[in-house]
Amino acid sequence: MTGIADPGAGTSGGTSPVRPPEPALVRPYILTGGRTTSIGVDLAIEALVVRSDRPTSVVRSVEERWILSLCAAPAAIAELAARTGLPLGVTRVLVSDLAAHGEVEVCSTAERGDATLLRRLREGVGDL
Amino acid sequence: MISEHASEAPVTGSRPISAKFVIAGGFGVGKTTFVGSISEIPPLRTEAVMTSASRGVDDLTHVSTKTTTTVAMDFGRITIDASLVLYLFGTPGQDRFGFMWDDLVRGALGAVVLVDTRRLADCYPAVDYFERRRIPFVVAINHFDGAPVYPVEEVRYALNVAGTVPLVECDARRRTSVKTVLIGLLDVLLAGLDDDPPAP
Repeated sequence: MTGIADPGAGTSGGTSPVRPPEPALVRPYILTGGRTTSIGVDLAIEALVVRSDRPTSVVRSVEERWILSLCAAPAAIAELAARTGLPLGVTRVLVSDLAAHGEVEVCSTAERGDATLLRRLREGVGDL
Repeated sequence: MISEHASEAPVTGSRPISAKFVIAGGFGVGKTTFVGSISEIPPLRTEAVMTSASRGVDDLTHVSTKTTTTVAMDFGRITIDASLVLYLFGTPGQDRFGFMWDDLVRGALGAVVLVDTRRLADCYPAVDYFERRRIPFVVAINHFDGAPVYPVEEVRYALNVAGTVPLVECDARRRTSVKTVLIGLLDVLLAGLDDDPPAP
């Protein structure tokens, strides 16, 4: 479930020497500088993430590009973590970084006590 | 009012919103089956690395040891419409609660506690957790071949949940049954709109 396509690439450019595969857990935490919480608000695991439309000229890591490729349509942070195989905490940090740079938007989550939303849910689930 | 769940990026009117229910219960009670029966995608699994620090009992040196555990959560998705998505998260299978759950449960609108009548006590921690945090929940007695079938009121008595908590029988393998449980939870939430807000 590592799925990390190319541990030898990433931010070091395209001509790095071939290295033996790194443990899947170690590289993501190196990538995030050991951070497991977002700077600022901790993003909800169910928060939807959508890629911005503007093209980016910033060099992104393999993992960030992978995340970007997975959220052309809205996808929850947990979905991004599950599909990349990255730990949830790492995914949160990467998404937070991408959001800070305007690469993605992180959408709101439902608030408790929102009557309209609850009615929409009730109707929607009832129609399943 | 800024929601603690709001993103830092501006949210336009065209952006969808997401909601979450938590599906809880003991190990092997059928949480993933429950989710899978109604999810529009096959259940996905995400892993979170949890670190806990503990100090030795006979501790003159105040040495603390950290243990790292990976907990897995299976979850599914129901797209209500283009602007609303509902996620169902199964709680980790480990028998630990408290801080490991807080992150997962934070912001959940409500919960389903699945029960196996052969191992009733397995669900007590979940019931305690949601009661303490005043998160609305329903109890669903999952069907297992060969498991004893008790009258619902006997199970209610054993669980000692309030009379206002719906307690229903359910077959987690069947979509219609799962749908009924979720509708029951939504009805609880709608009925509770005038009640006090959950504890922080």
